[in-house]
Amino acid sequence: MKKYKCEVCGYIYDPQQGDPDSNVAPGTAFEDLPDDWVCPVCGVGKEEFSPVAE
Amino acid sequence: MNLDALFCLTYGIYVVSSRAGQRLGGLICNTVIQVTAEPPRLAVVMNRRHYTHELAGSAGRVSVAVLSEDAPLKFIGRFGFRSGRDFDKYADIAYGTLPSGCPYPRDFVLAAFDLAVERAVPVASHMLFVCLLEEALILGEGRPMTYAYYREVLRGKTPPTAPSYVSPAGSGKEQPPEGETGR
Ligand SMILES: [Zn+2]
Repeated sequence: MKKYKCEVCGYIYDPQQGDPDSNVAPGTAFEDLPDDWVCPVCGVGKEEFSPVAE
Repeated sequence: MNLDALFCLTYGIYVVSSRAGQRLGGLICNTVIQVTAEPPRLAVVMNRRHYTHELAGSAGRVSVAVLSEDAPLKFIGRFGFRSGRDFDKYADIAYGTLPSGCPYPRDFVLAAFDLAVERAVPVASHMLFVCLLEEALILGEGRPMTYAYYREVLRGKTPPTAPSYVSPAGSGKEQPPEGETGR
């Protein structure tokens, strides 16, 4: 599963970690995050994220 | 001690910027207040780790831009959650320049102030800049953004370096300034 980076603040969503503070379980792919999920650091929506090149 | 009492304090949301030579920097700040009227002085507080603090310290000049409620999170995040040491915040946005040379963003801004630092007072992790007002501009119409609006309507977040940040543990313990290199 791909990591995604917030282009506003630089936060990286790692599917292996999930986002426990927002009740997103480890192992959740970025594509499967709910539409109203927001960056846990700066608060922008999924549309500001782009995939991280490995 | 109930630290939630601190959330009863009200603030605005500002972009504070500075310039040293060709280097421009800016950050989001909620701690800007007018302290005297004749002549007008403003106080600006920022974390000593910030790039803009470094620029302000060497230039002795800062600008303050008052954000309007229509500033989106993406715009605020650009100034509030990145470091000017690895990202040029003024690189691809429209900005104006005050007589001191300090920049201010053109968009989502209601007013701008050009300030000359009169005194810089270190306060543990933060620096209190007491400044004389040298120029003031009205740049737009609208409602100034408040910290409450940012948090409650925009659902904006607060980074750990902000004076208003309360750690999840809520210890209230003083944090020493980090990342200072003694330069
Ligand atoms: Zn972000």
